Amino acid sequence: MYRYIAKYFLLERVYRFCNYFAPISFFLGFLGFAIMSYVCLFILPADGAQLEVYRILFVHVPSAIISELVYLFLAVNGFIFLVWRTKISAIFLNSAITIGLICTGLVLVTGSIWGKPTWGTFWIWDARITSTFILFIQYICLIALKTSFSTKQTADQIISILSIVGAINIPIIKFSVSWWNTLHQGPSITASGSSIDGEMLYALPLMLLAFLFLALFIFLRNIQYEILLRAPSNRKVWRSHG
Amino acid sequence: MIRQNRANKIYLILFSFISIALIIYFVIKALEKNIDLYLTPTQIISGDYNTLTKFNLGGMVEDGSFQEVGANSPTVTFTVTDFSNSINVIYSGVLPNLFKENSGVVATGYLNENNEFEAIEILAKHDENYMPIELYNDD
Repeated sequence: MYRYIAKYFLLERVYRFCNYFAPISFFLGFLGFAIMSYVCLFILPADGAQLEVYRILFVHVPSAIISELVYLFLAVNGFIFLVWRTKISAIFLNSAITIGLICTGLVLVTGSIWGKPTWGTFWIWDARITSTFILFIQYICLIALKTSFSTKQTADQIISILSIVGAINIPIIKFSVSWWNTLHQGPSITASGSSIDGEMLYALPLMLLAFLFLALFIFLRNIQYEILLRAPSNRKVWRSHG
Repeated sequence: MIRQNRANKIYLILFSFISIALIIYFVIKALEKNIDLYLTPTQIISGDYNTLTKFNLGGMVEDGSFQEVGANSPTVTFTVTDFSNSINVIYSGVLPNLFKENSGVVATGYLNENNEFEAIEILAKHDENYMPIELYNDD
């Protein structure tokens, strides 16, 4: 089985794929983000209780979802790297960290901006906000560790371990609003349906899609950077660069 | 299919992951009272929690309980309820925009000798419902 998968993850193949899809992904993401920003800011109706300020939801929620998904992705890649020692999963692991950092930063900043007019405070140490802040610190730690070792091999191993262990925080963030009393409201979209009115809800998955494309763009470019960094003498990679 | 040394690695990782998860679970379990942002009126009345120092009270603002004390004073009173017990709150200051009756609130302050809650800061807790303003005003 290993042999069948491995041939799709040859460095030069991945590099070529990234080179091809990064501009497409950026274009789709940017277009989607521009259109959806207009829709969210001008076309969607204001919320009954929160009025105009609720529109920040359409940045807050997609970046929250991506910040958690990226961490799960890191944990899976860390696991694969530790068990099978595949070069490509280490590259994926290293490339995804910055996306997580950006998105977690966005969640905290937009949440603060949202919190002041609705709750009455920029920051409160409730379970949801504290656990998200811990996730932010985890990403900073990963970036710090990534560059703190003299060999890539050691660094990859250490950040794999940290990303697996840190994944414990993800269910804590997800369920923090139901396990404890928090100021942050409970989940709007659950298995039993959505408490966001359909007139506003449709914009959320579209905005998430735009964010995913933008995240993918950063991810693909980071992969190219990592490949060039790790295999500076790989002729095939340079040739695929054209 | 998986070679033995790889299987061993998987067991090692799973074992460490589960033990660390258990450690974190017990730590969180032990700190449960500290993680909760606020106490409900029922918890305060039960006497199991420390209410002698500053703490947070949370619940719903009872319908029809909001009163302004004087015409020219910023002091207001209202009742916070968790639908089984309730506590009177006295507050003077600026209220957040989303503060209204039948809506969630978190208040920081002290219990006074009459078992009323003297709030220093009021935060509004909004719910998970979002609906267009036209529909909202029709209700």
